Amino acid sequence: MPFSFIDIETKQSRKIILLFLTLVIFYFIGFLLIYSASELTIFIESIRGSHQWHKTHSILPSFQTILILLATSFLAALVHWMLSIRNMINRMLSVIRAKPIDPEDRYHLLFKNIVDEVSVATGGIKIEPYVVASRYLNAFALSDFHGRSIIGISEGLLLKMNRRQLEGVIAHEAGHLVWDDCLPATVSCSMAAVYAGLLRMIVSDQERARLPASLPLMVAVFIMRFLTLFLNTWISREREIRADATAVRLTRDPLSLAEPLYLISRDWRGDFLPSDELAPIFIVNPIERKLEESYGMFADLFTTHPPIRKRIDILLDMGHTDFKTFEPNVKEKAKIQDEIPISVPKEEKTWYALNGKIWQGPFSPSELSSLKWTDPFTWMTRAHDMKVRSAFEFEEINSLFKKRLSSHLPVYTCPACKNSLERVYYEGVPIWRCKECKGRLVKTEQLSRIIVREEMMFTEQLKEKVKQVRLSSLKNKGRYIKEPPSALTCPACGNIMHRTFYRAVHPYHMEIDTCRMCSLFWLDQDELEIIQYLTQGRL
Amino acid sequence: MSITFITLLLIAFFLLIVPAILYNSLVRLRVRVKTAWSQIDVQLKRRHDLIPNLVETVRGYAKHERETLENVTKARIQAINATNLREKASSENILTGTLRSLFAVAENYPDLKANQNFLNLQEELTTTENKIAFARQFYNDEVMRYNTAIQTIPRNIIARMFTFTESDFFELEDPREKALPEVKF
Repeated sequence: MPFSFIDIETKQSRKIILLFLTLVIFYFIGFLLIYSASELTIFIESIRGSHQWHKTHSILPSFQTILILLATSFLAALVHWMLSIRNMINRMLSVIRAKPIDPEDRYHLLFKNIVDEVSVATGGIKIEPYVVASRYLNAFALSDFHGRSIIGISEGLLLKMNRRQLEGVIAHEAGHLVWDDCLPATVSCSMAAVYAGLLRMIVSDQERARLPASLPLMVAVFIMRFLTLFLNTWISREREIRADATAVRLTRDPLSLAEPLYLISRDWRGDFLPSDELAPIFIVNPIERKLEESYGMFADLFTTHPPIRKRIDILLDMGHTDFKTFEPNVKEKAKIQDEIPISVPKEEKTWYALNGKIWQGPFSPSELSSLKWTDPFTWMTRAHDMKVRSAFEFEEINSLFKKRLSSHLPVYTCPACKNSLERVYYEGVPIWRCKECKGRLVKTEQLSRIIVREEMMFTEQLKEKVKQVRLSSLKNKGRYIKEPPSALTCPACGNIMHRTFYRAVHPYHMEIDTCRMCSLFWLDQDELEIIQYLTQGRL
Repeated sequence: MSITFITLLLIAFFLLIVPAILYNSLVRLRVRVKTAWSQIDVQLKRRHDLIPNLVETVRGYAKHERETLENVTKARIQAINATNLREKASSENILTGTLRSLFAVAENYPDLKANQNFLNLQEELTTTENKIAFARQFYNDEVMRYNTAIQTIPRNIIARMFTFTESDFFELEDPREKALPEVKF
């Protein structure tokens, strides 16, 4: 096996030529079949008498024809090659809907750290972490000719696995990268996709015009499709087992991979793929089939992944244990309970500040520095201290103002009650929360991540509130309770927010405030939990 | 072309080309061991850089744990000053021990445990320690390959001629090994 990325690079060029030749051969066989099929059609027609059968025709192609076919297939392969490697990774990422990680998200940070760790174990392959915001459990690896490597994971898997199990999964994907499996898989995936697309086109033509003449053509394409599928699956099956073994070599812990495989096998892997062709790049086949979990030659030929049970058994064997002792010990991760505030130095509220002509307070120093109407020249004083000075004259406050100027984080005030917003982690996502009214400011993409996570426990009180939302949405039938436009202003841009129904909780109606320019949502107290409750178990 | 000429050519081949190939392969292996070692060094340095920050954060909350904190600082200085491999391994082990007791102490301070800065540092240290473990594993694998190469025929002859010496393994207490479940044989 290759020992580091340097070896991979030297091997790369040889592999590229081999892959291209395979592509040429595939096109050649395809064209040959199509050619013979069309000749056959003409032959059948001639027997029927509707077409003249020339003596020059023969079902077997002549040497000249073969040369022409070879040249055409070379050209076709070249075009295909260009199309499939151009922007290959980005196109595949967009099909899978994977996005780069958010470095502030706690789960994403953990994921990135583990990817970095595994990258050290491989001897320094540079790996980019990607995340798919969905609940299914799966992971994938991609790489291209420029040496770009990607490991992607679904939010679902990221949530349900503990650190050790994640390490196993990522090591498996890194195993694919070490062996450089992804490159041929990517090209062969795109190859299979061509035939699948062609077949679909012909079938729809058939339905439209009922052309009996295209039947041989269809058969030819059908055969090609199966041939590529064979290639695809045959490569893939062998590789999964090899990548499992490499994962064990990297982590030295077979159970760290066996456990996630077991948990995934009992859960939802997602059938989100537009076609089967992308299946080989995933850790388990996203499209669940009975055949996939069966043994024998037939299954070997037609499925992209070996049965999970077989993979687990191999891993357990390496760990000197068996399924009976292993199964009851596999546990899912425990849920967390509460929001975690980001940096909470305990401060006493002893400060007062002059807002226009009114003294307000008491505030803690950090609150003072984060209020919108305060600046270094605001008059301030302390309780039990009669001196009134400008803010910058108090060293304690001035340093906070300095920090605020140098930090990249914006300062927001609550649109509802005008208090300062604080940063909190809600299910690992950094959002803004009002200290007083407990309203929350969430970015659109963050909200979709929160919905997927389902980590909060729901209290009885909340369930009661959900009931009310359901009842009121039945009563109002899509009418606004509070008329739009909303009375709130966006904390980021200061424009008036839009009052809309949140779409994902359909058929119930929930009014929320949003700023479309800044793609921010303002959610009143408990609204976030209600959305989570209503979207439970959905995509 | 006479037979003697061909034999001469063959002898020349075996005397010049083959040793050159063998020598090159040994050099390649040795470079690999060095690269692998530099990976460990990077991670160790990262850990040493993180510790002062951690000590400061803990000090803010747990002023009475002066002894534990001083132990960590001392162990860190010792680890930085270590020169050869064996010294490094032992001083890193001591450092790991003191860090473990520091985190055990932190358990008694709920405010500290809730501090975001502390949590971040803890995660940073965990991942750095895992990286050290992985880098060490990679290094030891490379050392094993190198040592096997210079001890086996035919490369042992070349190794002796050009003084390729065996590399030392880097033995550390592995934090990840501790976390593993018991495996029954």
